Amino acid sequence: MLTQDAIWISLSAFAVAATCSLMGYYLTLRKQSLFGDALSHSLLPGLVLAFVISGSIGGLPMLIGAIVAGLLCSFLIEEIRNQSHIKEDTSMGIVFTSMFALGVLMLSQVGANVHLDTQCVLFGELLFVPLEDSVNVLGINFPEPTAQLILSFGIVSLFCKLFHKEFIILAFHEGVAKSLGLPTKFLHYLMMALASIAIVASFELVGAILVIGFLILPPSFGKLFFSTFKGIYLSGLAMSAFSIVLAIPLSFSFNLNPASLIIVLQFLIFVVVFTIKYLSSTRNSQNLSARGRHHA
Amino acid sequence: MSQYLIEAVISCTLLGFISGFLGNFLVVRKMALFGDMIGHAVLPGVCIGFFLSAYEKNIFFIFFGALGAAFVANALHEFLSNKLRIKPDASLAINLTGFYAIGSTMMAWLKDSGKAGQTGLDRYLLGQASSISREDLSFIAVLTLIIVASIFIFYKEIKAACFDYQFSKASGLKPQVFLIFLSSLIAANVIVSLQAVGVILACAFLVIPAATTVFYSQKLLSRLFLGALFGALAGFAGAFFSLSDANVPTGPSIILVSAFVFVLSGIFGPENGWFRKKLGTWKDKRQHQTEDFLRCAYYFYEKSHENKAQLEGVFKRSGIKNPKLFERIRKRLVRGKVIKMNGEDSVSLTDKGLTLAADMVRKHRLWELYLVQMMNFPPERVHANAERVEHLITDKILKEIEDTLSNPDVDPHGKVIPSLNDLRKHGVPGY
Repeated sequence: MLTQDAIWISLSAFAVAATCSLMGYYLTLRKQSLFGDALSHSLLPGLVLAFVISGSIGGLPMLIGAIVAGLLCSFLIEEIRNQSHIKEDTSMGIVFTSMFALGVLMLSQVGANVHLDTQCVLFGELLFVPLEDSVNVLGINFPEPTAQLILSFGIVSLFCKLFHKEFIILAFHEGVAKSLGLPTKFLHYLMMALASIAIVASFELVGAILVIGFLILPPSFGKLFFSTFKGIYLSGLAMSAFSIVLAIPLSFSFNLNPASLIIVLQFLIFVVVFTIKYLSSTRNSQNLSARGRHHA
Repeated sequence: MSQYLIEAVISCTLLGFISGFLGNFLVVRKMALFGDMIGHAVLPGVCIGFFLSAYEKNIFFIFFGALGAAFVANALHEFLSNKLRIKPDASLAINLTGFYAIGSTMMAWLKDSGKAGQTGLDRYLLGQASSISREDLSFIAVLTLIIVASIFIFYKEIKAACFDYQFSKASGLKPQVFLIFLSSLIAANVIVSLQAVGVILACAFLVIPAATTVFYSQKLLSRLFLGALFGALAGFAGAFFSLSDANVPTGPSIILVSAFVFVLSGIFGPENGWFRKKLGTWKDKRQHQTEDFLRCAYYFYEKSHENKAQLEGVFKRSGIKNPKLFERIRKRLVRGKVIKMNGEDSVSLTDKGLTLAADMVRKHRLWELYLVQMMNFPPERVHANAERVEHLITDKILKEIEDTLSNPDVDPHGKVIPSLNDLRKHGVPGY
């Protein structure tokens, strides 16, 4: 049943894109895209610990492990910056790499496992979505990871709906948010927790490093054409959907990792569209200035 | 330990040395995450080098392939960032993940062709010291020499370009050339350390040892060498741990050692370390207690013109709630020969104590006057603030205040501002 597998895999990838690019929108708006990078690496020790304690992959323990690790990571970044002369970027570079290293080391001591190993961390295992373990919802048999993804999309989008305005103000100017009496600390950590949820849901499928692509590429693409939330989010999502639909059959026929291929396509599309847009915009401005000179 | 393992450990130590050394420039230029991007972006270059060297792990091919990829990624980052509403952070994230995805697709393809599996392309992801050959070691040694030598030859120019670009440009030092040169050295360093720490942790190898040095010194030159020392330590110990347990990849092992050194330095470091800061606040607190005690004793001296104060009165006036704490402060002051006891319940200030007390009261009253005259505070509201600020006024600030207020004699409450002359006038012995 190659075709049915392909459909579930595409659907899962699409759910990853929908969840991640939602959080990615706020991160790019705050000019903290690399927080996504930091979070995705630093979740690893939390996940391994949750796995060791609960003995299973997926489910609530993993979610809790991820949120705790994500909050710890953002807390440590803040603390190192506040307590010493170290700047934020360096502090980030210290915290997430150390946590990632710790996670890999823990993983090497736990031993290889079917679902959680270094390979999965590095590339994700979209191709090996355990399609057999299915959850029955409304008479349809969803594969478990897909169902989990859809659930986390529900959670993340609910909170984003509730706190959209606050997140936007926070991104626009933290000082303004503070002066309006918004709990900026709480909002920051809430955003980090939501991003952690989005990342952990996608982690098994796309791995720690490619997930950044799912976070940042779609909203950056959308920003080239739109300035409203809806426009940016939906156009980014359309671009991801296009890459997914193209990448899955390609990966099947050439035996390549679909997650990598999706990101490669998104990246290429972004760079090409960016270049075209940039060239046309410079030509327009040249035309304008030429016309301006003519009139003068 | 065999010859072969010793070579691996030496290589990692050398790599640590050079990474910790160069990493300082990444830290001072706030480019840590740029290093992260370069680290990930060289992966396709490594694959191409691997392919071009006909599936042999030839370090020259891989080095120049990776260097090419680093240049392309850098150029793309320059192009994308700050244009069409794409900010530098987003551009870094996009390049990082995009290049990594291209690299991992290439790797999968190379693996699929069946020739890459055994030769250890995988080891470039998380690092494996045991894959470092003798050829690699000599390459690393030469590169170390080149990097250290070129930093010292152009030390002045590079330092100027990093700290003050505009000044450096105005002085005709060509900062743009030297920054590109520096970036190339950093990229070269990242590439050679891939076998030890892997693409994902490459930036940490540069950043963590260098960041550790902020707890030791503020001078660039000493930080360069300290960073090199910490890096070498991490490289040595990390490689050692990893080689003694085949399951442990070298990269995480090295990074965890350097993170451990970072945490220790953060706690015990002489420059702004946690412990040093706590010690500082503790010393300040003791100092303030002493000064408050003396000021209260001086109050009674001023009132009765007799150098004798009841302990009970000083206690009440000092605002200290805990009698045991007060007792401890009193004992400390007696030991320090600042006060002396007249029997059980009365104290007098020694000469030294009287000078300190007069100095404190002088600062207090001058500050009160300053607040009233210069900042238009109502006189009845300045006391509480002066009680806090009096401890912080240095001799230099005192001189400024004296000059601004043209050496006044009386504070806003009509009390005499003590000076050494007054003390002499009052017949205090020793003046």
